[in-house]
Amino acid sequence: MSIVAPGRLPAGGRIDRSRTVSFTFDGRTYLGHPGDTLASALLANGVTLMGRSFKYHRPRGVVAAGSAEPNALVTLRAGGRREPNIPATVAELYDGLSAISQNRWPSLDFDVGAVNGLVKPFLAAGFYYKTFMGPTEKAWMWFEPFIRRAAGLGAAADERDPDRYERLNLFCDVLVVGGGPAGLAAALAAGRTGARVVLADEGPVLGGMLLDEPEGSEADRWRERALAELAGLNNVRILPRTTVFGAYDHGVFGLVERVADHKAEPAPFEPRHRYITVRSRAAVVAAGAIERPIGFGNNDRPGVMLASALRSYVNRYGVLPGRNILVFTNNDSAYRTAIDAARAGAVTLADARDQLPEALAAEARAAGIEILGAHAVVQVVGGKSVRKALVAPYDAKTGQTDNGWKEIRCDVVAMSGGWNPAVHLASQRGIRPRYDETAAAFLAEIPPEHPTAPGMRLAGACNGQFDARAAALDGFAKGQQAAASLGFATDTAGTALDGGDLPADAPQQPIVPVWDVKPPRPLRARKRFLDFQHDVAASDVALAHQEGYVSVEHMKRYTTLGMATDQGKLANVPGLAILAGLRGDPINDVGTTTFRPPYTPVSLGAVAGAETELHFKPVRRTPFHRANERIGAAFIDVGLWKRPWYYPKAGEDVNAAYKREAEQTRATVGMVDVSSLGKIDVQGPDAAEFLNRVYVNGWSKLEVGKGRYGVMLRDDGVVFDDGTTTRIAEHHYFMTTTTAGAAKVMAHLENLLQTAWPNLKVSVTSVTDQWAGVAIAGPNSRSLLQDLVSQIDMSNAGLPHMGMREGFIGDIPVRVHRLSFSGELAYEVYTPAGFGEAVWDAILAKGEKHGLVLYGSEALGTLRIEKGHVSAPELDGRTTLDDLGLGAMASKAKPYIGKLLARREAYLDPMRQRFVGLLPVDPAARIRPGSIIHVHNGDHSGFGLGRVTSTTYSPQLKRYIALGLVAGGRDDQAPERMVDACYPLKGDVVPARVVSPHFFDPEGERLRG
Amino acid sequence: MAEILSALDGHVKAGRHGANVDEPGVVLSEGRGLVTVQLTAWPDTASAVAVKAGQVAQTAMPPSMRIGISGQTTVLQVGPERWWFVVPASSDLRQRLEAAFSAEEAVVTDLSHARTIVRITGPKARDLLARVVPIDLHPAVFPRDSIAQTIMHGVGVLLHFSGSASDGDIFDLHIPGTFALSHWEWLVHQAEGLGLEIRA
Repeated sequence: MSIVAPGRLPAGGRIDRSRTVSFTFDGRTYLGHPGDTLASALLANGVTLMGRSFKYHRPRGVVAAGSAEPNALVTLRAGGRREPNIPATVAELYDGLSAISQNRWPSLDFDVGAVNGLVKPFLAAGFYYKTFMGPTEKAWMWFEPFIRRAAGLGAAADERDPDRYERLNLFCDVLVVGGGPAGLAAALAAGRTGARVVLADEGPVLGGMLLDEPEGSEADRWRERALAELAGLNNVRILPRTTVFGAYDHGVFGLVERVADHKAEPAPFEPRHRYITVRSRAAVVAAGAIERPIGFGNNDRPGVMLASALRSYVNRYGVLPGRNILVFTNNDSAYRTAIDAARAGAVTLADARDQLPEALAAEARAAGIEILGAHAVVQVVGGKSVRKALVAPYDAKTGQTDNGWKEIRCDVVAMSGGWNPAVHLASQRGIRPRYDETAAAFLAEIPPEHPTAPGMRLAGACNGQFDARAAALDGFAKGQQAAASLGFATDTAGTALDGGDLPADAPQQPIVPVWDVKPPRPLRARKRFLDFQHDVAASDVALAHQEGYVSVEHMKRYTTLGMATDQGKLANVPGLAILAGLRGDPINDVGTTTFRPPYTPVSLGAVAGAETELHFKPVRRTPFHRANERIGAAFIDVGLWKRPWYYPKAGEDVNAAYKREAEQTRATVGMVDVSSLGKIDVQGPDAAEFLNRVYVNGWSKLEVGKGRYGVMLRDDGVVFDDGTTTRIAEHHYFMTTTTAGAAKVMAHLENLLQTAWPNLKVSVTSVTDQWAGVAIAGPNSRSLLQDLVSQIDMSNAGLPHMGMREGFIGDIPVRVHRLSFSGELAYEVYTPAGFGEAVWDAILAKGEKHGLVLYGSEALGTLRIEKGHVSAPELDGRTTLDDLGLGAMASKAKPYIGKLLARREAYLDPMRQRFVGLLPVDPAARIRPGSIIHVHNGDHSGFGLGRVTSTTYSPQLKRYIALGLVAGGRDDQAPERMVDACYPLKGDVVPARVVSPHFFDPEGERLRG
Repeated sequence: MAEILSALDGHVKAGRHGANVDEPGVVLSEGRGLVTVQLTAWPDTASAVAVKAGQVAQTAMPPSMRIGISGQTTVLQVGPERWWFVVPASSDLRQRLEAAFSAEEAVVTDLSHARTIVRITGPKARDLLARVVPIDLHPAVFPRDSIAQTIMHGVGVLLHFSGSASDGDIFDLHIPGTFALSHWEWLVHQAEGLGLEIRA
């Protein structure tokens, strides 16, 4: 265990020095303090090597201090909680944290994959595609796994994630994105008006860049006052550790809150991440700016970091990652880093500009900093750390370096190439950022009431106001504007904050763009990296340009610049600026690539929320579910429904059970739960006319108390759904649909009534949940019901086929419909859902003496296949009435939906696939569902003559039978027509005869019995 | 008359669950013994039907589709010419409405057993609802008596801010009966983090 923390400053930082926490990195134990990130704690312990690069396996350390970090990606935790690719710069330290480095073998310090670095001339942009995709597609398929293994990130957990995730909906008037000076001021300005404000920041503590100011400074006191006032406003909701990752239509934003990432384990019932959807009326985006790196030789060595990151480590975390510091800048902001670092270490500052900011430079010199004006860092020397840097005279006008470089001994190089406003959310809304020459940055301007970003305003650094004071003033103004635009009264005289504004810190000398520093001629060139994570160097951009990839979108994809987990937060702008230089075009003409959500990676757990395992989808249970459970039914998922599949007796599997159930139903009587059928209440003076229009058959003459089978077509003449509809009263019908078709039929009918026929006085209501239903089928069904039901004459005269009567079972009201799907004498009994179980129990109680058997959906299928009734497998959206042998149902006397297009030529082709029965020649043979029908003993390739839709063992025929659709259908002239039913996945070929689909009781004598 | 068996029968067991069992944030119970009757009028009869229906049911009628009438007879307008009357199971309101209107005026649909009512209250009732329905429940936006037809866990539900009690505001969720148990389990799961008391 190491207790020496060589990088920790003796005082300062927003860490709790009174407590220590223990953590491990690659198995070694270290100590840090609450308030540290994993990165700051490692730096404090003198660990600068934190990862290996993606392609060349180069040693890498931290570059940034926040979510833009490209290099220091680690895998956190273990087991089911293992999470790869987490930047060490955002991982908050907690006691017991365990992290391992990635993309190295056998160890981070000695990585065999680093040999890739020796062959890097060959691994330039496009290498893999040129080499492995060139020969054949198969070659790529073969090589791909090896390439992926060599280049990679961490591995996800294999185990189940034990943690909870949840979703949350929030609504507000003004969403403020980012809690830096601009965001705090915007939230205050809007919050003071009484507007409902949500303020989200990705960090654990709000303040943004103000947190990098020394604790107790004037800027820090401003931050504390702002937070105190916000905490007192109950209309402001503050969300720390929450990233606004996406901006969507109509003021909708996607946020992810890392509720428990800063703990070893979430508290009981606490989610790890919370996915928040915010619906806002206006938004102030104050997402800040991200400092740019500069391209120079070996600029990826551990120890080279952004100047702002160094300042953050020094002031926020009390860590100085080295003793000899070289600062390289092209703008004023890095002077503050140099001055703060000089309190603890030796600092040299190279400024690429020849005009220095005099006041700042004087302050720096007073702090003992040596300043080299008009100098640039051209190369770093060192392997796993920085040993020294070469600094050469630099001409900012031409971008050329000169001989006469000098060596500077240093262990940290802090670079600042200027600032990129984080315009991602505006870009996601389709706002194209424009390059501003003065700011040397892409700025996004959102016109008022922009169609895709209404109410969105940018403020602060992400609006080009880089100094804190200007940012806060901008944020305050935008917060006020946002609230005022929603009708909230603003106090226009109000100043940003009681107690004074932030100290002035405006730039004294303008930035001079420096993207990439080429070495003076005699010096051997080293790679100048742009995208650290994807190992894309300036030379790769040049190669892409040379090979014709002159569009920034093409260059990005060819080089993979900006395509890593950090999405080019550091790399994009330098990359496209270099491309612009090569093209000889202004940077604005080259443009940026479009940012898309998410801003930073979102865990899949957060996306899934609580909809996992038991709650993966809602479950729909019939009113008989408990009764079915009690009796031991096996259930099958049909859509969201749990339907009873079969009722096994001891030792029975599904095959034994369904055969027994089907056979006994035809011998005595069976009962099946049909509650999942769609049920629609159709009422109104025009109900009969409505049915006439939606069904192919006629409804005008249907008597009260009678039902009818009906078929609906789609507009294009294809069969849509079928079912029975019964006339309950003069203007009242009870429609049933297939289980699968219930929702779509309901939507279809409602749509027609609201759009096509608003003048029809018809009301449709789904009553699927209102009614419990069973079908009772078999020769003893009548005697069973006679035993049970009062007030209904069950005789053929009293309740004829397709009749409906209302009666009672005990004191429970029931409707008894006489209709048959099974081909048996059969009834459907409906009762309000809450009475279902009592009716079920009553039927079972009387059932035994009538030989009652319960049957499930499997036996239901057997009975209807024997009978040749079509069901969902045949109503597959491709079949017409004539295909299914139902053409005679269609009324010639009236129009109905689908009538016209059903007469299209292709639908009348005699060789269309028609509904048939299929009888295997070998009585023991079984045809698999989904088999393809081919010519008997012919060519078994291609689409064939048709398909098998439904198969079963028929207890009546004592053999397997099948239904299907076969070109030309059944030929009465050739009753022995043979086909082969082929199932290529299993190699099955079953010769079968094409027969009538009505295998059992084709005349229908039983159901009329 | 037989008793209506709830879709949640056997699943609503009194007790405390999840975090903060000493101070549950959410109280869940079932609104039992209530049935729903639907009345649908036509565009040209709706206003007259509303007046007459109020007389038949002896209740005020809702001023809009957003604000309901809460009480012994709850009236919720669920469509441009459509109302739900939620009444005790013993009520004969359905028969009275059927007798009062010809089909040319309005039609009555029996939804007596079609919905299960889950009652949500407690100091964190809104926090629970914010996790399950995309509805702004701020009192200024969704005041007492408000209704919203929305989606919960993929299924259409009706949310009604029906009143207030010492525990806090009361929200009634009308859930299709066949989904009721699944949605009950979903609500229980989501409420555990807020501290849950189930009242039988």
